[in-house]
Amino acid sequence: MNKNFLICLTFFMVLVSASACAKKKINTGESQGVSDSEIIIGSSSALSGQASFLGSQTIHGSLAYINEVNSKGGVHGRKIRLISYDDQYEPSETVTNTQRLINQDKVFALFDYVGTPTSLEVIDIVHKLGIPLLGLFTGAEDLRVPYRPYIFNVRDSYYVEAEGAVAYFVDKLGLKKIAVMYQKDSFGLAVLSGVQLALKRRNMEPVATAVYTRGSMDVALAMEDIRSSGAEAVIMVGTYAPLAKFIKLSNDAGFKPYFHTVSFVGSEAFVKELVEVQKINPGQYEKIIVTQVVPSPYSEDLPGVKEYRELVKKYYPNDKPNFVALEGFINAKILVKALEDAGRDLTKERFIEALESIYNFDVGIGKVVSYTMLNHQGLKGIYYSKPTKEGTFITFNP
Amino acid sequence: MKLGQKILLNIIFIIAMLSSASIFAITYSLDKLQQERLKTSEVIFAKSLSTKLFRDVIEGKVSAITSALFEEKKLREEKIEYILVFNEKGYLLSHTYLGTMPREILKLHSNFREGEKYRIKKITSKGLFVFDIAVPVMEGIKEVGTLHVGIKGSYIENLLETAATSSLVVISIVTVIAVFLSLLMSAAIVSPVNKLNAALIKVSRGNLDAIIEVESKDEIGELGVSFNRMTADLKSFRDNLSSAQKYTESIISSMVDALIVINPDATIRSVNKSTCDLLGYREEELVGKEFGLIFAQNETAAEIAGAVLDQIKDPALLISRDFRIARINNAVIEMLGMKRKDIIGQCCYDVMHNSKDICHPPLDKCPILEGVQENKPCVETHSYFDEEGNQILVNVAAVPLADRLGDSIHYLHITRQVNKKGASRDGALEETGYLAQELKKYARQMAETIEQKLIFDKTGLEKMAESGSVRNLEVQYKTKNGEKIPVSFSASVIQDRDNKLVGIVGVARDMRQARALIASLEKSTNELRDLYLDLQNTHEMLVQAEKMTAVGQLASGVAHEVRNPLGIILQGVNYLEGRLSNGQGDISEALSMLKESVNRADKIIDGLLDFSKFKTLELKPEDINSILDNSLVLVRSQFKVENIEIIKELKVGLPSVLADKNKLEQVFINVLLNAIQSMPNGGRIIIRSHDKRSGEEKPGIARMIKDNFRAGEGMVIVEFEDTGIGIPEENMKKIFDPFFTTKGQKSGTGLGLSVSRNILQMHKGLIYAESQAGKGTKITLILKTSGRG
Repeated sequence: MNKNFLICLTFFMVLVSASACAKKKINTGESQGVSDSEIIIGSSSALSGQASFLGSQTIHGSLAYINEVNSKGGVHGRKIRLISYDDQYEPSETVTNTQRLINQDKVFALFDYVGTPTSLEVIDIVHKLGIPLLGLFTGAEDLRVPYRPYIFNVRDSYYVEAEGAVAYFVDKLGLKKIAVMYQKDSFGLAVLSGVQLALKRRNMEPVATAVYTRGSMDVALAMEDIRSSGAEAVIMVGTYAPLAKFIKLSNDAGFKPYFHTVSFVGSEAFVKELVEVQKINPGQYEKIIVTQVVPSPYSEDLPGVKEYRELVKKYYPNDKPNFVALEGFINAKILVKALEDAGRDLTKERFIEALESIYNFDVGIGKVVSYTMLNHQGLKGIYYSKPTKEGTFITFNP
Repeated sequence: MKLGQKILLNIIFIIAMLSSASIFAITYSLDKLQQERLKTSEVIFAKSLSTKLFRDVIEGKVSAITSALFEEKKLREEKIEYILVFNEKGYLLSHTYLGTMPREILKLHSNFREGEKYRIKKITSKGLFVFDIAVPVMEGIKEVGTLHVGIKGSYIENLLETAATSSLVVISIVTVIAVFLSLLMSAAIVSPVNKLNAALIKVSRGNLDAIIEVESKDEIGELGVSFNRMTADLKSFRDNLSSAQKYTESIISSMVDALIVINPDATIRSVNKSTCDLLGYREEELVGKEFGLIFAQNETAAEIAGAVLDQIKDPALLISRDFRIARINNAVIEMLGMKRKDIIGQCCYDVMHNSKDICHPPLDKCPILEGVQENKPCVETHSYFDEEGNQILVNVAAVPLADRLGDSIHYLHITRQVNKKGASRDGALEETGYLAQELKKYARQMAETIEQKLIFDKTGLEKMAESGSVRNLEVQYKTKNGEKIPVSFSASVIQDRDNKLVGIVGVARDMRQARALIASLEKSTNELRDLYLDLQNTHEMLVQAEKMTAVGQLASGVAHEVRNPLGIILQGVNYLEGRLSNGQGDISEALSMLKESVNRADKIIDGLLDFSKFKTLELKPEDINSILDNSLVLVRSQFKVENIEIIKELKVGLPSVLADKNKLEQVFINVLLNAIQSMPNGGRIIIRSHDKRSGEEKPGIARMIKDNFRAGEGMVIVEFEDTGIGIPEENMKKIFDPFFTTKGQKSGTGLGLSVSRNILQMHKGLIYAESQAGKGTKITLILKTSGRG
């Protein structure tokens, strides 16, 4: 009697402890978004609104390459279908879109996200569900540090761009007073931090900072603040419209420092706004520089750029070549490369493994792409660009 | 403590440990959880608030900040105590306090280290109990201020308390259930142990039939099985053992000899049936008692010594160390003429010497004092004078005795009077050597006697153990009724492996039958010897009678033949005398001598005729004492000449005897003359007369009397005791023979005693002699009473 009783008791105890220790096993749904004929890729970006140029051109660039691949039979017999939703550069929308893409559209991977605040919002989702996210149109440091296992960056970071700008202004031009005017959000702060760090390395700090609210064009106060600081160069962080207005207002006020902004600005849209300035004050126009993460879309000597121009012309004949679309194009090249490398039996794990196996992949822009298991930064280095009288940007070597 | 209680305690202890551990763990993890919660929710809240306000902080827009703070506080009223914002330089820019602000608030500002994201600080002071969440207000990487959010401690603690309480409740319920279950369990575990224990107790009390019902299949169950097996083994072992024991017991009990086992402490361990039967005890009456119980009470050492003392003829005493008399023999009583009880316990010098002090030199040395030092006998000669002024010499001797005689006796003391007529001190001294030897002999005899006796107490037991065994010791068992049974006792020591005395086993054999056998054998032997002596006597008598007859016939013949010539010779001599004239002296003298010789010859012939002829006796009742007196008158002159003292111890009023007065006189005179002649230097003759009935005599004499007297017949006895030279042993048989004499031709005819015996025989009486060479002779005559007196 006693023995049975003991056994029962032991069993009972084991049960209790086992139930206490047990954890819910998460179903990863490995082959989601992959069918025999199709690979569904999801994207959320600003297809309308203030930053619509950035979103739509990134998608165009990518689609130009994807369409070409699809037209040639796809990857391992599967066509790539890119579902892209508009988030209007609003983080909440980005989250909603991402949820829809994952839960309803059952995408295989996420691709071509645009914007810092928008992208930052999905880090947790991506991380929790283990969905790979490739190609983000942002240089935010938070996407890189700490290491994000499901996020694969193509373009280099804002910190690098900020360092480039500071190096140009301080080391090259010998300027002392650097001010920062930034969009009061995570994007602005991300670049601000880069600038602060770059200046700190030179035992300097911004002579002034000023902000404007995302989505507004209210930069007058900011311009006044900066102007009063006597800055010799102003690093601006924001979208093209308010930044162009800031330059115009400065010009109107007779405040004529060097201006810089990062690649996100959407160079082609930005330069359109600045035509007015060029007309009024050509000297001032000369003092505007933009750091870029891809080479000039008009480069003749780079095969990747030429391919881009050909395919854009083929699929989006109305589009002019631009930095943004080129970046989207390069993103697509890396996507296709990884899908090809992952093989016909496509799983997320194999896709990630294929991405992390990309080494010195020549995307035809004079630079190679490499990922490792612990380094998800694909391209390295920036380009300096300045507006031309023709209303485009050209890269230059300072 | 019972096993069940132990198990229960153990389990309760474990449960208590587990409970407290889990309470601790729960509290700890709740605390952690709360920290985490603060981190994840409150810190994020603070961070987002700081992100929202950082520009206002930079620009110093206090009112904007304050309104934002109040707004936030209002939204989270239940948990937010305060929100504070410091600027870059540590000035409190804005806060949510409406009234007085606790002082601690102002001290909260602190600069953050580079890379530090937040700080959580628990503040517990009077009137303030909060978790202060501090985050830097950042512009990019530049710290432009700090923001503090105070989360109400009570809010957190309430949560904690609720969690702790609920977990406590659960733990308590679980504990109660666990204790209940463990109660059941311990009962289940302990129950077989209890059974085992109960069975063990039974077994330990000797009940080997106790069996445990094995129910549990655990170790205790195995124990039970082993126990049952062990019990069975034990039982069969015990049965074997007990059958072996019974076998041994039956051997012992069937032994004819009485067996006894004695413990080292002198108690009886066991006895067999024979012992019980012999002694009349039941076994349980003997076991455990002192073993001396079954032995007849031993003589004490003093008694043993006393027995030896009685064998000594001289006055002998046992004297203690303090000179008191412990024991005496009869000779002492005779010597002192005192009663025994007046002697025992008195000091020896008082009793013996009428002295108040110990005998001491130079006059009379005390042999005790002299001899004891060297532990050897010592003899001293004491001298004193009696009432008549005669010197009396006495040898007094003493010897120390063996220790075993006990505390009360230490010296053997003997007194011997050594004076004789003309004794000297030197003569007395000569005898001391002999006395010393005798003393030693007696002392040794005492010691040996004691040694031979087994003392039946612990001492005796130790003695027995020392010697290892005793063999055929003649002792006496004492039965329950007090009857003494002689037994032959043998005993052996039982020792264990370490040679330690375990006990003594003794066997006693009833010697009563053997004794009876020996006694009857002795009796038969004695009878046989008496018979033989009778036969020899008869034979001698026959020979004597034959001899007498022959001598008588010869004598009467010779007498007749010789008398006639003697008559003629006498007539002739008478004639010649008549014819003889005076002056012829020579012839006359010769004739006279002749005549005398003839007379003498005639007398011899008369004697011969007396001897040979059975002359008829003129028997008349006579008083033997008057006959004795008449006889003494006849020889009185002789006594004086020979310096002989006559002592008469004649009993007055003796019965008369039928006797021929003249013949008896002749006999008495013969005896007296013989006595006189045996004492050439003078001496003493004691004449006794008394009467008694036959059958009361000493054995040697009895036989002779039995032949001549009827049993119970009246007898008159006359004794003549002299102090003469005595009769040598070799002559004793011849003294009644005719013509046997030691006096030479001149003094006797050798017919005196021979004739005397004939006369006594004619009276149907008896005459016999007892003598000791050098000491004297006693002649005894026994006559029948006349039957009237």
